[in-house]
Amino acid sequence: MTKILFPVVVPLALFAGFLRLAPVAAWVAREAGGGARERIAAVQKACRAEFPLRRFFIDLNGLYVRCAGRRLCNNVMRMEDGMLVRAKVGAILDLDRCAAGVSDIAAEFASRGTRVIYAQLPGKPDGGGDRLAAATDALLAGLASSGVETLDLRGRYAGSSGLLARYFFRTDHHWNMDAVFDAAGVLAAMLGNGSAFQPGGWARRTLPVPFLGSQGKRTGRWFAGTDELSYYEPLSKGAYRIELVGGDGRPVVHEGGFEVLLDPEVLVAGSDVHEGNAYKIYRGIGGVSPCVRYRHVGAGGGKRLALIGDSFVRPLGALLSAAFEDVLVVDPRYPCGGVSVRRRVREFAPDVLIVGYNPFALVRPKGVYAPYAFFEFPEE
Amino acid sequence: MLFTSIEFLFLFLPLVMAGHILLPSRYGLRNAWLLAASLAFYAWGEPAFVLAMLASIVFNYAAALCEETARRSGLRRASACIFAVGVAGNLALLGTWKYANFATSVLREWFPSLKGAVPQTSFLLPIGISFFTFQAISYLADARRGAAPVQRNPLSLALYIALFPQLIAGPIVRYADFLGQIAGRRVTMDGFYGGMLRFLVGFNKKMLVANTLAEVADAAFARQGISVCGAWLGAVAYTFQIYYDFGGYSDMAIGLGRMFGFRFPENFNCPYLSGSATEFWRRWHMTLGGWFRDYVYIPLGGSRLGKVRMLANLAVVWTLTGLWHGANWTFILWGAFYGVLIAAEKLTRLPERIERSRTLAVLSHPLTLLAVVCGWVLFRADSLPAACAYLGAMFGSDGAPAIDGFCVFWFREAAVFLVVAAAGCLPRPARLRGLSATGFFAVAQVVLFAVGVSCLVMKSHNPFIYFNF
Repeated sequence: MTKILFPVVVPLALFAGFLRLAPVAAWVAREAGGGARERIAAVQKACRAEFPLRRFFIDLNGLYVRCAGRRLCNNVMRMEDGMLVRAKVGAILDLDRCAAGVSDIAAEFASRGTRVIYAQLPGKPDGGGDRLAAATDALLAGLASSGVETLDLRGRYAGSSGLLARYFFRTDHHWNMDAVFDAAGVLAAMLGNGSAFQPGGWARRTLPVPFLGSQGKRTGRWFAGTDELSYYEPLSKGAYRIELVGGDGRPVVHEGGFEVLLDPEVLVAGSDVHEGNAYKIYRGIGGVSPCVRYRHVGAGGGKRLALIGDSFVRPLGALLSAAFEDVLVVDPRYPCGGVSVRRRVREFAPDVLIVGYNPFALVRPKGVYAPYAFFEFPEE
Repeated sequence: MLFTSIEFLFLFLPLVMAGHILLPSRYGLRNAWLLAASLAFYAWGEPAFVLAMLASIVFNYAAALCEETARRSGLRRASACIFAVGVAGNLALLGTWKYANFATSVLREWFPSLKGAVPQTSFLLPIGISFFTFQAISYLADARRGAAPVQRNPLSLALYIALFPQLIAGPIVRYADFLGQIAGRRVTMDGFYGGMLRFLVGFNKKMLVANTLAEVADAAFARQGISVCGAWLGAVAYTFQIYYDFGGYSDMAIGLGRMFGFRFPENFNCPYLSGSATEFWRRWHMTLGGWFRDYVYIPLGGSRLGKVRMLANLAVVWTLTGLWHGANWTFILWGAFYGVLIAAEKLTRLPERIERSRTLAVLSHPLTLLAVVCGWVLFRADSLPAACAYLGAMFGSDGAPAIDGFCVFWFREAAVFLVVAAAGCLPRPARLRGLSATGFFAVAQVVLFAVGVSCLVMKSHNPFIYFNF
């Protein structure tokens, strides 16, 4: 029986793949630019991306790796407690140069009467041992010796495996919204606006669909499971305005209650576990909108807060807008309308400037943006 | 194009299978289809290199015809000259693409005064050039010595040289063995079933075992300051990786051949069970060993002309074997290493002694395996100093620690695969021999195939060692 079925079933499976991929390959080969090599590479990439039952195969791959007793799956490591972390950490940047860059911008704004704080945001442990933690310590020491005010939040959210499990997604490298909410409260209190983060003043809601983070997307759902994604909304009403400035400098504006800070794509449509990114539930900085301005009429006694940060700051900026009247958040990795970060913050004239990154900002990036983009702020 | 790629499995193979099944076997249509598919298969890697292959086909076709004409006309010397030119032409093709970069770098390093006169070449290596060149030489030699008639149909010769299942990594098929299959092969349901099953077995060996162990080996060979256990773990992982990588690819090639009605020779026979280096090379890459034996060692006189001549012949064969694998001192030394071992075994009549002595028989297996593992370190290392440093680490030189976290981590990662790989190197017990004919085995291979495909979809680590040769 097998001898009859087998030569039919297997070729049929291959043909099913052919019927799905052949039109894609033909289209990509025709449309892709460049020579034969580039076209072949484009076809190979498209075949992987459009593979039938792709999501099932991603999950299957993770299940197989897990069943084989492995902790390493597609460059993601599964820790003893199920937490996924990066397996490889690239070269560390020149820490003196990083410290000098931050000290430079801190000195300029301090001279203008702005309070400048370097906030060291927490990060998950990595496969490189203590190398990154030591580098982060060295950066903070360098900044402190230059007279920059620093705030180290690592111990509060990532100081132990228990804290990590509580404050980080298992399948994503970001801190979760409980951590962000707590950190927003800490920062607001530190800046004298802590009353906005009274425990009874906010509602914690959970998305109905599970969240598969960036690391989980590489391992599938059956390698380390999925996360739940919760977010916070203030119970009090307020008039909010969010201005999302794109790479071309054009702003998109939304006005209304706090809900305008939430991404309806995630909130209403739910999140596509494999393709979507529920972490962007709070609209904010990112590759599409490298600069965001939140206005909350009447909040925080008119104080103006500027944040220069990475994706960890995306929800932080949104939550802090509950406590400050005007909040500017900039991601220095991406161009924003031809205006430099330094000039944009200068024009904003903040009362407080917080520069905050997670420890992986110290790792040399793989050519996506300039290596010292987080730490050096040229005029133009 | 690699067999372990989505575009091969889900674009190329279904199309070629459909064409082969639908086309009538008359008028050589199926052969023409396979030839066109083979050229497309080769062009996928680097389109320009198809021209090199077509040039090789035209050259060998003409050389054999000329040689035959001269031979039939009684022009013995002319015939010999044409044959020599034919072989030299093939070697020149191989030498230019494969060894020019190495040769010019050695020349420039050894004779700095030549740097102005000898530019450093940087040719890209056409995939599988060593395999199809050796097949072309096999054609010339078999035709010359009358083992097979000269091919009048250029498409048939092209199919022999370019046939995609064995094009880029063998097995090296001899022309005399292949000739009858060009026109006289039959595709049967049994053959198709067996071929497909063999293909799946090879695919699973490569994707699931070799690629996983490749991660361990790559990490170990890239690590500075490795511990003794870590170095051994890396060397053992590479020992299994290369076997499952190349063996898996050979299984895929043999299986594909059967699906299209061809019968290719076996390439491996439990090589890690060998009791001597001589035996190892009778079990490892058998088609290459056989090729060197029949087309180099025996024509040079083999062992018939005294010990000195035998040693010289062995030196030639093993230097060439090393060089065939790559243009680097590590490969040459690796070939020489086996040359020395095999010469010593021949001089001391070790295989005969092993047969007579139970103690030697027991000791010979682990010692041979030890030599093989050390040989693979030479083969894998990027340079001679790197090989020496790695071998030194394996034996605890420079105060390398006995064990470290790297070793513990990778051992945990690879433990299951090491056990599976080791078990797969052993001959199957008698009661399990019928297992591969059962439906359960076939279903298991299909499930594992799906897992292998999942690795492709995720673009997991997928190197292929013999692709470079």
